[in-house]
Order: sequence, then C-alpha cells, then structure tokens
Amino acid sequence: MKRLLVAVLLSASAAAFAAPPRPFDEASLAGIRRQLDGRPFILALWSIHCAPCREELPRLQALARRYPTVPVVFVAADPPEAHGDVERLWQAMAMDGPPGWAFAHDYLERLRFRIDPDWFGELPRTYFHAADHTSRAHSGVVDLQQTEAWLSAVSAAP
Amino acid sequence: MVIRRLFTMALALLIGTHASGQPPHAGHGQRPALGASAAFDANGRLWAVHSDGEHVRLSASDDHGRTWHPAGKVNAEPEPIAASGDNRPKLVFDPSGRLHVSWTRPLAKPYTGEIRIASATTPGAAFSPPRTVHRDRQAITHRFDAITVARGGELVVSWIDKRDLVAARAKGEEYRGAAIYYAVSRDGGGSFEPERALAAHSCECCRIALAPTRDGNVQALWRHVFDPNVRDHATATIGLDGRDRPVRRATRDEWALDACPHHGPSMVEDRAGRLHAVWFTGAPGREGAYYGRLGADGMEAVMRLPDARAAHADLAVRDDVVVLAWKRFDGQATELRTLRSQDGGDNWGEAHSLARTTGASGQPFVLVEAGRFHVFWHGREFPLGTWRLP
Repeated sequence: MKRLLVAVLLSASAAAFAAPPRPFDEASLAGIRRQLDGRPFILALWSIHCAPCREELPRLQALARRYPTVPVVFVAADPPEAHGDVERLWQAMAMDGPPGWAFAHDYLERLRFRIDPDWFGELPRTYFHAADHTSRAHSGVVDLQQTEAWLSAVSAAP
Repeated sequence: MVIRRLFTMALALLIGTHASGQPPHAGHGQRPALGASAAFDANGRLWAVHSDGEHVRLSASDDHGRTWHPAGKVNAEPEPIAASGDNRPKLVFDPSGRLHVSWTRPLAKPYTGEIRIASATTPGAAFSPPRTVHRDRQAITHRFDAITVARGGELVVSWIDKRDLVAARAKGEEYRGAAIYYAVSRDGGGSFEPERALAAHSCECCRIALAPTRDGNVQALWRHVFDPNVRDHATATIGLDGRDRPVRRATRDEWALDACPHHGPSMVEDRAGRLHAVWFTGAPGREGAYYGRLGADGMEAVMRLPDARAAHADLAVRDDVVVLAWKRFDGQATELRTLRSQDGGDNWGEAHSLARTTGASGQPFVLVEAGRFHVFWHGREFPLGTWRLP
C-alpha cells in the first residue's frame, strides 16, 4: 500500500503542473549543494528570452530522467516580473514537475556572479557537477551524446 | 559618496520616486524593468524614456540630468513593453525637432513581438497613438528595435525579425539565427515604407547599433551567426537611396556558441567619417568588451577594455575625442567605468569610475552635448542617473 502510494505520488509529479518557480537568491546555490552533498547534479540555467533554451530543456530533462540518481536543477535567469512567463513557458515546453527556480530579484549580475564570476550571462548555461561538486561549465545547447556519456559515468561511480 | 547619495535621493523625489527606490507608479508590487534611454534636444534639454508597467514614460531635465520632471506618458493606452536585457524604449529627435519613441511590444507567445513607434511634433506635445512599424503582422519575433535619424532627416527603424526562419521551417528547411529588417519613414514618422531585409542569419537576442553616416546612409552593426554558429559581428549599410550594401564581417573573435549572449554592440561616426564601435565577446581566451574602428576588413585599432568583467559598453565621439562607458560588477557592487581617447581611438587614458551602486541597474549610454560628455545610467538607486564627465 505504501509502495503504491509512493508510485502514485511519483507519477503525479511526473507531469507539468502550475506552480510558481522557487525564488533563487544569493544563498540558493549553496543550499542546493548542501542538499545534494556528495551527489553529482546538473545546474541548468535558462531564460524565457532564450530561444535555444526552449529546444534544450525538454531534451535535457528527458535524457536525465533515465539517470534518476543525477538531479537536474533548472534555474530561470529571469527576474520576478517574468516568473509568470517562466511558469507558462515551462508548461508550454511540456516539462515534467514544477518549474524549478527563477532569479529572486533583478540585480542579475550579482546573482550571476554568485553562481560563477566568469559567466557573462549567455544562455543556456549548464554546469555539470561531479559528486565532489567540482563542476564544468558549458555555454550554449549541450551535446546530448556527451551529456549522456557524462550521466552514465557519474551514475556508475560508487 | 554621501553627497552622491543625497543627490540621488533628491533626484528620486524629483521624478516622483519613493525613497525606497521604487520608480513611480510601480503597481502590483513589481519593479519596472530598467531599460531606459536619454537624448538631448537641439536646445540642450535632456529627455529620457523608461518603462513603467505598460507605459513608456517621458521625463525632461533642464540641468543635464541633475533633476528631472515627468513629461507624460508616451502611450496613452497600456500595452506590454520590453525593457529588460538588451531591450529598452528609445528616443530620437529629427531635424525638425519632432520626438520619436520606439519600443518592442511583446505579444502573448514567447519570443514574439511588434516594433512600435509614437511621435510628437515637439517634446511635451501629445504623442500620436503608437503604430506598428512593419507590415508583417504574424505573431512571431519582431524585437530589439533600434532607431536613428539619417543626415537627410529620414527616420530609420531596424529590428530582429524571424519571418524568414518561420518561412524556411514551413518548407522543412533549416535557417540559422534570425534576420535584420528595417523600415524608413521620409515624412517624420507619419508613415513607413514597406520593411526590407538587410541581412539574413543574425543572432536572436542582442541590440543592433545604427550609426548615421556623412553620406546620408546608416551603417548597422549587429551580432551575427556566421556558419555554423559563430556569434561575431557583421555590418552593412542601409542605403537611403534604396540600395543596401552587402553584409560583411566586422569582428573575428570566433565565439562559437549556440546560445543567447544578450549583449549587443554600439557604433558612432566621427566628423572625419570614421566609425567607432564597442562590442562584447565570450570567445575562449578573448572574453571581454572591445573597442575598434570599422575598416574595410573589419575592426582596426582594436583595444580590449581594461576591466576583465567589462559589460554593456557604449560610446560617443566629438571631433577626435572618444568616450567609452561600461558596467563592471566586482562581486559586491556595480561600477560605472569610463575611458577616454583624445586622438580618435589610437591612444587611451586611464579608466576611472564615475559611480557605484549595490542596486540593480540598466545599461549605460554616453551622450554628447555642446562639446561635453555625459553618461546616462538608469538604476534603482539613481533613477535616470546622469553624470557629466570632467
């Protein structure tokens, strides 16, 4: 019964549902890292203004779903006045689950700097975090084959 | 710094801003986006436009931006206005003193929009109802408007347009990036000729630079997508005689990227006919903002701006004096930085900081009036902030 309940809850979560994105502030990434301590994860930054993101996000999520031990943390680099659009676009892209995070305010360069001082704001921007949370940054649409190889490697690691 | 702060607060009060830093008429608890522009009229009065919810608002200053007073709404009827990132409302004066304001109106679907313009016979007079510049009315991308006035008085509006991408996809074909389109008005904004394509395969999300030139044409500079995905800059001449000059490459940073940099160039012509430009690249090993003069084979006298994290540079020129301004975030605060050349961009002085803020800000723009340089920088802590250079 308990197992059934869990299955029902999981399947319920595996469909886009309307919810505002969680506000991503200067402390959020540190919190995410604490929560995912010792685990590999992908930090995927996108924006409602970024056309390539629209093609990338569903593909990245679909791919990552096959490696459930490696979470993908989606963060929209869009300020609060755009969070309604973030939510709508998330649903339009048929993304699973709630729409991740979005920038908590419009002092964008400060939020960007906190994530990575060497990131200029180009989107999509993806960080592949190993289990020890050293990360590799990629600007632009990710290569799905390379991403799959990375996912496979970090999932297989002890 | 304290004086600056007091000055800022006074300025904020003068344009009707609450001491909290909320621009006027914010509504719904949301802060208006920070895209704003300013221009001097022929009498040395400074005018600015910024977005406030679903209105573009006009402000005026008789003291070079030290104090401002509201000068009304540009659009009487509310409509969405793009004013974040490389989007902002813009204003130009034509030779007869008419004021023209352009902006991008986002439509309901993501990435779609229309280029809007409203004109007033004199600043302070009522604006015409806004009109859409282009004849193409598909709900697709027409965004990132740029506006200028050619030496002959023609009004030129240019933008990023995806009609050719949409048409190619309908035929099952691929299309790299978007396109640059433009439209010309020869009657002071009363009507626009049908829009024309200037270039195929532009980047999708960076502002376009338009520089009126001595020959009566307009030189455009924009971030392009060179095959297969190199997001360097291209340039072309908008011929006001109806004859455009072919697209050529302007920068060679080799920034290969399938992404939106949201970081467009600026360009101006000096009295001798030289075109001065600033642009940004994230190409590995070359990351940064650059100055250069546009020659026949691309940029010459190229100089990397001295700050590693220089962003959103702009420039103005008078005679041989070139002034650059840009933003730099140092981890704590955003600084407004400037740099000057006295010899047309061959040699440069020391960069120095004009202002610093720990609040959100838009992009800086360099203005020149009666031989003096000013930097306009709209920020939460200094609405319509304007600094006069020594």
